[in-house]
Amino acid sequence: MIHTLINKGFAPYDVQMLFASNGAEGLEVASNEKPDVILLDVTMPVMDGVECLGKLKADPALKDIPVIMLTAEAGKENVLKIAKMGVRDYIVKPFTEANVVDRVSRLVDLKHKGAAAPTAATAGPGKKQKSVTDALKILVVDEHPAIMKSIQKAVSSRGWKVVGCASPTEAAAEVASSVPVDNTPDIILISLAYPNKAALAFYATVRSNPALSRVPIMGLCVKTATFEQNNAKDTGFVGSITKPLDLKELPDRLVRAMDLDNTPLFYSMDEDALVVSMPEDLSEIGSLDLVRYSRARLSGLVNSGHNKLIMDLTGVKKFELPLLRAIACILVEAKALDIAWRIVGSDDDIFTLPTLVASNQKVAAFKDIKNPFEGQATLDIYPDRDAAKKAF
Amino acid sequence: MVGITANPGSGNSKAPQPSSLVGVMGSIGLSGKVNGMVYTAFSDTLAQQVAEKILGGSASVQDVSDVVAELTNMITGNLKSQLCDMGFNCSLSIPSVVRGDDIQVSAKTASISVKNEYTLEGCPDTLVVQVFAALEH
Repeated sequence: MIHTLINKGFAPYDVQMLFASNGAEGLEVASNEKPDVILLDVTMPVMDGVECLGKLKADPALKDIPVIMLTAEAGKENVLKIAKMGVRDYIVKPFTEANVVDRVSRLVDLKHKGAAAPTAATAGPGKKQKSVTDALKILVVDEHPAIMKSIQKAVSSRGWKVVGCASPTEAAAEVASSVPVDNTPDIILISLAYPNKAALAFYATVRSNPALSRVPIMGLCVKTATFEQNNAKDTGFVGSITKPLDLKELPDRLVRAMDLDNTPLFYSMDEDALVVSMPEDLSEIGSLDLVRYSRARLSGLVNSGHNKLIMDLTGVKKFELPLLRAIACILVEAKALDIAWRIVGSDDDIFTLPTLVASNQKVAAFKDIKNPFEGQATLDIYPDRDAAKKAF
Repeated sequence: MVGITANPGSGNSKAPQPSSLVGVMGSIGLSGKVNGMVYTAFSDTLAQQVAEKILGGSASVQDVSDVVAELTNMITGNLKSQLCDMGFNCSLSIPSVVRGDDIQVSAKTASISVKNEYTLEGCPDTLVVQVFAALEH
């Protein structure tokens, strides 16, 4: 049934669909065909989706293929479990064909069958892929000015611009006027509390404009408005942000919704060494995305003929679990790729870091992560980058 | 996906055992802090109608079974999510589908037996959902 529905949804597009009936078959097809995207159901005989996902992520040849999970279980525990395994997105059943196509189109360029090759006008020459360090434009549609101000405050350190509209009508006019001047929003947040499902109607209006067909749209609502959240999800919203807003996590949620690589915020090159400057604080989502995108960064380093990594911890004030996990995962990945690493930090970190990693290994969120400091008698920590560079 | 609204009946939170079900029946087991079974029963006509509506055309016997299995998975997945949020974590088995004119289901150790009928707009028959469960002490 799922095969039929998905096949029907993608019928108008120039894509090759490959189907498998269980996780074991899926792994075989993925190994042979290397698809651009994998849609993975959770409930399957022989090998379920969660086990299959684990095997996909453990295979160096397959781990970078984006996976979208299809699940009938929308519970927080289940969603967190699959999110931690590195899925790019998840869709809760029941879903519509349009919903699946919309999610896949965020990851790959879907072209209609018989569509001409991209012309200068449609391809948008010179329009480079957005980066998390760009001055991104966020459109906030909410009747309460305090919400706009909170979002502005949360993203100001990232250099992003927030534009506020008090109603969907005003927002529709704003987005329509942004198209001719090529200043379309990079993401739209709209309150789901407007009467007569106005947020859903706004979604349809935005999607009807080809120039805005890929702009991610998220809902804003109180935690208990589950009916509105489900309706929005079914319509094609990327997700919902609940009020009161978690300002620490908000920028990272927006980065994920825009499907942006967050590593430009943390990585830089210093001569032939890759430097990862760990922030003062890291949200759960920010940590998961940093780990996910770090794999490509580290592979890229090795591919370019370099093998030095400096982990700069001078900005860290407290080793909270998400931050600690990101540090451990990056160092484990570096170790697997034979990248030599040095740590820059304070003398206190010599003792706290290995102890904290070891003591957290029994925590669920840390369970499957190896200890990068295992077997290391002492941890060398350097006071600054120059000292670390000389130590290679 | 289905595009049909299901309206619940008044339900019976102490449904007698054994429970008699008719037509195409999907079932999924729950195991963990709550153990039990979820059964969904569609009349042959209802199962055929729903399958054709979902698949957008004619549906073979196998298609109908697949649709009933998937719908049972969605219903049970939703129930599991709510149970997990209440602290009753559990795992689901994969769905199985049987057909029959008088299928008797019961669960000796289940302290909870809940049954409800759902009317689906445009369909004369009802969807029956029977849940047997026991909470782990």
